[in-house]
Amino acid sequence: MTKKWTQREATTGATVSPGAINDELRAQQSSITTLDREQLPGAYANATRVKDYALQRVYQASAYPTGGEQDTAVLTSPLANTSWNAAAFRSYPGGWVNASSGNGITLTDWKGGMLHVEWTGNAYIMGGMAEGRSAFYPYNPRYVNLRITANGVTIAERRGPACHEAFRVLGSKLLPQGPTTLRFQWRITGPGEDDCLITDAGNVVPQAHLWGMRYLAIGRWR
Amino acid sequence: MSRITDGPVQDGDTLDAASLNDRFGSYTQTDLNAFNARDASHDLPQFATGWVETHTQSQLLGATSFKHGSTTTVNGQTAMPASPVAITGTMSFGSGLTISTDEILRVYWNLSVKPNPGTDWNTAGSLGYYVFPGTGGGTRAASTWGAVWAFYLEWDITSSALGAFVPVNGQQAFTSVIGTKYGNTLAQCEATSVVPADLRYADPNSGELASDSTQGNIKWRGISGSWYYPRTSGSLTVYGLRLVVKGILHPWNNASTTNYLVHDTTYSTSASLEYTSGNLSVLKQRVK
Repeated sequence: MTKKWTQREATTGATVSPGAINDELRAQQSSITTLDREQLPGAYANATRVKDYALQRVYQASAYPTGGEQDTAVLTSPLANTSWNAAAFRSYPGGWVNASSGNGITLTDWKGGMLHVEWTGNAYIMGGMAEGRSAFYPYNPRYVNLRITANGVTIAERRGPACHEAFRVLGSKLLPQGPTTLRFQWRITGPGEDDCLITDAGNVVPQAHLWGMRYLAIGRWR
Repeated sequence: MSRITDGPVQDGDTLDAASLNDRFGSYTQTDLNAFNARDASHDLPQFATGWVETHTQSQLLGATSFKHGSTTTVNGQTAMPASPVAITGTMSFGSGLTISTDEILRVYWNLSVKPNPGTDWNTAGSLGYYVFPGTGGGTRAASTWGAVWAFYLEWDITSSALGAFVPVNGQQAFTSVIGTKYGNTLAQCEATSVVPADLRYADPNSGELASDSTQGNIKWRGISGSWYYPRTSGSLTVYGLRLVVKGILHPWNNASTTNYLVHDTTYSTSASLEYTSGNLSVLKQRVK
């Protein structure tokens, strides 16, 4: 798409003056100074011609939070060796709890547009006490409810695992430009009145734990 | 809009044809570079096909059998350290798939499985049960609901012969010695997805167990997982990728504040896992 001289082309050996180039620029004003993207050829853009993050940005962590384990509402004692340091009814405050005690996931330089986010991991829930003698139909199945919030607004929510298994929560949402923070949150079903919560040896029975967590988020501007 | 930073030609400047042509050349396409092209001046039509997404591939796992007429059985592992069992269906990248700087490899898998818990969940030595007070005296056992089969990814980054699979970055093989057990810390499970080994329901009554627990009917269920590998510098060539399984594994803290997932060889004695079909997919893309 090289521009062509239309006025006084400067050739070798010829006499030149500022007017030569200024006339040309004036004549081509419409096409030189107002070149817009519709005039660009297909496949014109590449990594050297486009600024980083001009079109999209990927945010990712192979383990979130550090080590991939939830670090909130964790009980560490007294536990049997066959348990994890995990959330027990003794440490769980009720309601939605952040999976990480940190400040959440900051989407750096969020320009506004479509967010796609994948939150992957494994969740343990102690579901074996669902059929208590005093819990008539329906019984009391336990779930690790999961949700993703963006600046405090829920953008994806799942009922979550009812046993010890892998989970994946996917969300997509148009988000306005500006500082944006994602949070991954969990909530567990409360205890039934018959639940065995202390073992015969006096150890607490952990109820839930999120582990092996990682995430991928993609921001596609406009 | 384009933006050129050459200053204007002034009266009195020394001019010749070459300098003028250089100036004119500033307005050619090659100079509409990252500085001139502002962030929002481009949209997908200006990008070459495959600029964002640089590779996709899919691999069937197991055998397609929607009615589960043909299954593959994996037995519980009792001899330690155990080798992983590869799920049928290895993804080959032929001469290699190169992950370059500023690219990320996204891997997704799913599989139809059916655990068989066997009968050793509460055999002495198993990690899979708690002991609670029994109604009317004595004690009874109830499942911890912690026992699982663990699926994780392995890759071959040495050659297209695909003879040297190892766990992917951030994943270990559950072979570390932890006291008397073999397993991983949970931090070493970045490419793991688990499926429960049993669903055994207790019969609680006011904090005690009124009768023996009952095994829930574990039907066919799906497992799924995903793993991400970003490359922030240099490049890496991957020749193959596969899904493997180990089990039965169980939570363990080794009397510390570190959480582990370890082999439960007692529980595994009579347990097994069936699987039929699934899918392993990769998507490689730019991160910016």
